[in-house]
Amino acid sequence: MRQIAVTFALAAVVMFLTPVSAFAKPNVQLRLSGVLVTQSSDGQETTTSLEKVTPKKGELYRYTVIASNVGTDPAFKVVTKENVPNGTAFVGGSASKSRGVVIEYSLDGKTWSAKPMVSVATPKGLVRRPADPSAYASIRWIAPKVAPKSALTFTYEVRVK
Amino acid sequence: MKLLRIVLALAVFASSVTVGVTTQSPQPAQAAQTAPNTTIQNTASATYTDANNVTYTTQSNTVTTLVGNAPTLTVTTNNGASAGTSTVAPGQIVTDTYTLTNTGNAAGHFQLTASGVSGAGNDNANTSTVQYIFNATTYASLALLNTALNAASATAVNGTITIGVQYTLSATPTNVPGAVTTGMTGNVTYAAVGGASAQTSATANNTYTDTVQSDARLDLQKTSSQGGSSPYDITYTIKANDGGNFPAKALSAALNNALGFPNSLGCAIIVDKVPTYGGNSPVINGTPAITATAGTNGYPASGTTTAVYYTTNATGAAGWTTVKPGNPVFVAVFETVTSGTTCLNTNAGSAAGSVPAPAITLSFVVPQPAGPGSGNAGAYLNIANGLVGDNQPTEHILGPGIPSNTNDAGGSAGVVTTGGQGFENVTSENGPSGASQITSDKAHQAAAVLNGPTAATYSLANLQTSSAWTGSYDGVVTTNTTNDFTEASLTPAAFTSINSGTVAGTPNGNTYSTTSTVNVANALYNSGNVDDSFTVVATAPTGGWTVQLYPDNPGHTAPGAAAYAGCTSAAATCTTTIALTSGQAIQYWAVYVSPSGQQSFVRKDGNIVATSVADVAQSNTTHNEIYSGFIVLTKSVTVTSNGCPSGVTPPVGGACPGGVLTYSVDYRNIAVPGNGTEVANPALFLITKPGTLIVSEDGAAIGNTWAANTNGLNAAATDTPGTGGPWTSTYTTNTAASTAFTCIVGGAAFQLQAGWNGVISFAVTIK
Repeated sequence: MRQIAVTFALAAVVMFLTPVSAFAKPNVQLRLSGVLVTQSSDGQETTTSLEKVTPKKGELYRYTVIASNVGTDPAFKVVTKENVPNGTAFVGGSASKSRGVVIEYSLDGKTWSAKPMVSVATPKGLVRRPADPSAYASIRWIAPKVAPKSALTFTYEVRVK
Repeated sequence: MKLLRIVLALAVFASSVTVGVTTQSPQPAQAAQTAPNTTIQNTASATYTDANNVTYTTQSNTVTTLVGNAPTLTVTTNNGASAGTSTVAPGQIVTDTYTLTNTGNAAGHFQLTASGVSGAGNDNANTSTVQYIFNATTYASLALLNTALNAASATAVNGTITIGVQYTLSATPTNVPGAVTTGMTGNVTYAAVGGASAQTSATANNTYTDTVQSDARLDLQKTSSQGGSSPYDITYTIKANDGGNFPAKALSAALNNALGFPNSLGCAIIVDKVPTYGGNSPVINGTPAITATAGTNGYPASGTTTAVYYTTNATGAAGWTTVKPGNPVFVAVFETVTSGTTCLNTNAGSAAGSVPAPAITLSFVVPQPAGPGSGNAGAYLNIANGLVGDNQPTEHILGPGIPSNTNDAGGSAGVVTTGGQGFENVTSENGPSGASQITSDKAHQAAAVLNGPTAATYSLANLQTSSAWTGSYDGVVTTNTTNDFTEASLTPAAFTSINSGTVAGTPNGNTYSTTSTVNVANALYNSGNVDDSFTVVATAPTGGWTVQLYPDNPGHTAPGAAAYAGCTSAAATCTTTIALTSGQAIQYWAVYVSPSGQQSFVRKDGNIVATSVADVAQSNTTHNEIYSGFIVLTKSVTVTSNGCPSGVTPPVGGACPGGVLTYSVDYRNIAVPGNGTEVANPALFLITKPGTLIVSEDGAAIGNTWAANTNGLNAAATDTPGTGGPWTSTYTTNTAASTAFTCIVGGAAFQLQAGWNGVISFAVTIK
């Protein structure tokens, strides 16, 4: 019994000290980047890394997250989540779409829906209507599978408040 | 195997407690913009499972951005982001209010880089006293204002301040309508905070275009109409309207009270000085009528009342009452404002003297003017005036002739009743507000003329009277002003008129050997009510007489130096035109010349007809009755006893020595005395001067032999007055045996008037 206990402890230590990838086949890694998007009068789009800008109201930021499976086995139910940064507002319709990938939004980070609803008080009582996308607090992409050595790219845009 | 399950379970446990990393911010976000020195961080997270349904979590790198100062502002007007607009009046103190909003992400201080009256307004040059109002304080310059802005608390995000650009528009701007433009350009500065450096925004600006329009303008239109038949009353109608661009404001209660109107806000919208003629104010027939419909044509929908007021005060400075006096000097419409401050709202479409859609109408009726000249154009000249208040911060009186910027407050009645101002304005459409055109009316034209004798004493009144005297020039025709007459007599110089006739009253005169002239004064009176000219036709007596017409000499004693045009040559008839104002009477002269060979003791009729040019149906005739001698002596003898011896028959009409002859000398004034119904013109009959009718009888004079052949007067001669008598004559040497005597008929003061006669008798005995 004592031996079992020691083994359990060791196993736990090993589990915590050893990277999951060391013994788990899928290994999804995320890479996030952001750019300031500006558009010239002729419609030409220019991007500047967010590391080099000072936010100004109204500026459009585009964030890109790349989920790469560098493991040897497929990753399933890959849920990539982003919170809309404080000081910005989500730009409706800006979330990128991929085949088989479900996009959901959350107003509170807890409940998710493809089209979050809110209750609005009207003279006729509370009315349920779609929430303004600028009120979205979070966004997530749910991909059923990411094959080994492959990656998914997701983008969305926010505007500086 | 058991170990593996435990490990897996722990792994699952571990993954389930590893929550996705969320986006974080070290500082709370502001409601609007992100405050400077805020970091925006972003991290992605993901979960996934493997083929064994083991859940894994992962997260990305963190992207961090530092929020800096981002100052921005907006400058808005009363039209929001668009340029401001307002309508301003001459003389107005105008404040264009700009709102500066801090639209950036931090509190900041505004500064103005350029503000004030600027731009292309064509009345910009007509402004003065440009200053700035911030926090209820006025700053005379932009520099002072900026100092105050810097000293004030920073304006929070989305906070606003208001700044007024104030200017005074000239009371007489060059362009009305015109425009004044103002502008405001400013920025906002945020102080450095943490890693966010101090920043000043780009400038923002906005403008106002203030349209310069005339202030309230009380337009008055006055018309008159006259009845087409007696009594020819005149109806005046005055229409009032605010044709300006601002409401006509009520004048102060103090002013109204000082004038005698109600002690209330209100306006003397229509003040009409009742037309006068000859200095007399007429009555106003009936009750003047006011027409004003609430909510129509600018008349307020509520809160006002109107009433007719009158005063007999000569200038309208006091005594206004709603009780109509007998002869009001003024009649007015006073509008009492019981709610609000507006007498009239604007109602476009009118102008001074033209009010097609009146807010208020007053009409009243007066009799036509009367008296000389009342038929002349302009006998009744009448203008309506009115007072309202303007829209300046300190209200002024808008009224004809009232100096610009005359304050309403204080309420001095004098300013609106001074000659030429306000109620006393007499200038048509005087100034921008409150005067009507001048109506011109007159009495129904009634031309008339009187042509007649002149007065004994020259004066206008006497001429007017004498021209109206009536007469019957030959004693037969009707007595009226057309048959009136003036008797005159002429004889050549040194000519002795001799009557060879034997029947008293039927003389047979000798004839003139030369021409003779007589001047007859007449009076011509324009008795109509209109200035007129008169065609005057003089006709000389028949038989070679001539006539000319002359104006009076300065002393009114003889014809003037030159005859009237048309009568400059002696002729049987002449025509001239004499212009006389209504009521004017003149004396003029007819100069008659009798021909050589004119028999004495003859009455000749010359007439003069004056006809109105204005109305040819109006004419009047006078007759000048010219006598070639008017005192006729007719001598006869009666053989009282022939003195012949018995059986001796004397020759017919003869007598014998001792016979007594009785002589009778009939003396008479042969001038026609009219028919006895003449009025007021006895002086125009021929009459002897006092004591000048002296009948001399000399028995030894040429033609007489009774002195030699008789014993002289048997007794003193006697005078027996006939028509016109009695009178008592006086004599000289009128005693028995006298062969000559004189008889002063009637005595020294006696005058023998037309138609009078008497007989002097004396008897002698043939030697």
